[in-house]
Amino acid sequence: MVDYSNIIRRSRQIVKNNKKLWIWGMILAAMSSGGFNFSSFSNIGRPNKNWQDLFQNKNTIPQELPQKINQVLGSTVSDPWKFISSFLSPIPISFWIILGLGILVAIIFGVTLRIFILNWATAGLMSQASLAEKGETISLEKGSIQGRNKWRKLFLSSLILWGGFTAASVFISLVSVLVLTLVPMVIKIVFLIILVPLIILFIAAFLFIIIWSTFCQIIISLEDFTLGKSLSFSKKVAKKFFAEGLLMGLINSGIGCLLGCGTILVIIIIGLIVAAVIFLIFATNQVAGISLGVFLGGLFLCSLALIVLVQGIIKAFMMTNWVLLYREIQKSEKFPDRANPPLEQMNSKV
Amino acid sequence: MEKQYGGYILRMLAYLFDTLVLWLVPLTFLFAVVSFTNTTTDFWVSLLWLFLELLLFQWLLSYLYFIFTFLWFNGSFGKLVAGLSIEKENGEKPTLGDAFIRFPVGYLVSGLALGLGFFWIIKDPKKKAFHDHFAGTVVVKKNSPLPLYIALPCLIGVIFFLSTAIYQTGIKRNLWQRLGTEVVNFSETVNQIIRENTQQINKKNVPPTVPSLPIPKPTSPSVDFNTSNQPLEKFF
Repeated sequence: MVDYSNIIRRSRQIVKNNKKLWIWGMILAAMSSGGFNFSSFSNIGRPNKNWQDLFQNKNTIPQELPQKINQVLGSTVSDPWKFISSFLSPIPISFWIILGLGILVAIIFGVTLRIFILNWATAGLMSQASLAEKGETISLEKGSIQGRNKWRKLFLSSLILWGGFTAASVFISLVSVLVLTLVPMVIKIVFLIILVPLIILFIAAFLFIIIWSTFCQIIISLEDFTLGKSLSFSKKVAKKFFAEGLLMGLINSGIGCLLGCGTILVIIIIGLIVAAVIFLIFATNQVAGISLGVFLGGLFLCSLALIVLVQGIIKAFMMTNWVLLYREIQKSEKFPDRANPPLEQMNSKV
Repeated sequence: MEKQYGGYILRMLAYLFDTLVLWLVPLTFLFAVVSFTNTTTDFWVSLLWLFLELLLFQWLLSYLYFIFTFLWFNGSFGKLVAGLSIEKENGEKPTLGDAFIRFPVGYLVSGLALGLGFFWIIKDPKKKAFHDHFAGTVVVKKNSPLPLYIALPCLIGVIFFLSTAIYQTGIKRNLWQRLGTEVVNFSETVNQIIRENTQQINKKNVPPTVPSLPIPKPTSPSVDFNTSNQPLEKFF
């Protein structure tokens, strides 16, 4: 029986004492979430009734202002489509081709870089967490070497597992759609009856793939196996310790959600309060409002950096939990102890 | 002899030099292309679009620049000018993998959390940033910084060429005169609005009517807020 409280306590201790793990966690957190996007702020430009209410005193704006603006900037301003088309029409086709090429190169390079960094950091973090668990000194350089050695295997393993699963899901969905639209009613009913256990099987398969891929990541990062051996060995481990893995996943998700979402929620609430205060001060004294806005905006940026740090610590903690679970399984099953070959051996393979 | 490591300020200056080179050279090229091409497209529109395209390719250019200068010269031109050199800590020759880890990957990671990885140079005993740790490199002081009489004239030359190109193109295309006329027109119209507005204020003897942020509910009965105004959306 796996002692989860012991794993969590030891993991907390390891992460607390080895701050270099935070850096790996930060990289993973930043890369896996895709960074911060500000899509929630997209409403800023749209008319808002409450905001409009604040400007009800319309007499303050001269009636002839739009005409005057047109006099200065030209009539195109009053017709945005005309303005855009007049701006875009003289652009030669070669500009568009180069622009498209640039965007394509940027996307390809960005995706490749993200895949590399994700797998490199996963291997780096897991190997260093394992070293820390043994009481050895960890370093960013050692982790980086491990990451460089293992990233291809990690990428290929997830490609095989998730690619296969996605392909199977797409195939089943297509067959279902075809059956439900083309065949007679009797077959449809029979198919629907079969579909219920199929969906349950699908969910079970999905959960199994999650556990399998997680154990596969750990085994690739910690052991010196080939890709095929890692896949088959991790499948055996996932089969035998599915419940343990699932429970660990649930614990990690709970902790991650509680701490991660909690931090983001606190930051959002503070941000909203700060924005409201700035707005109120700005309404009475513009100079004071702008100064305070700049100062608090800087503080808000710092808090975003704090989120990355907190998420990094959580990520490091969760990964260490998985590594410790694997070590527990290893102890209970007496697997061949091939974990963590000496670093010199790793270095020679770079 | 003990190695001397490059500090934060020196490395930051070297990076600034590199950024300047990486922007000035393509910008000059870009301006020259637009200036000396007989295109029917409006000059500013062409320039704007080429600039947009430059923005898209500039990062790629900088990646290649930092990777290959590290491999060929043990450091970017900024570092060479500052008398710095990047070395592998174990004395080996740097590989393409090291360069890739150091530049796009390492710099990205160092930039996380408001550039914590760059500020790490200040704290680290060997003055290593995160990207140095990942790539197993150190930045050492190799020579005294390159004499100013070489580095500075080069930079001034680039700036001079760029400004001359801009000025000449401006003359050739009558841009400065057009810009001047439009500025005059703009200021005249703004002044006219202000004059008319002031007259209106004096006539009505009401508070200033310059567009401003929320003003409390009307206190003067002379203004009819419900009927005399157009909807606010019309102004935007």
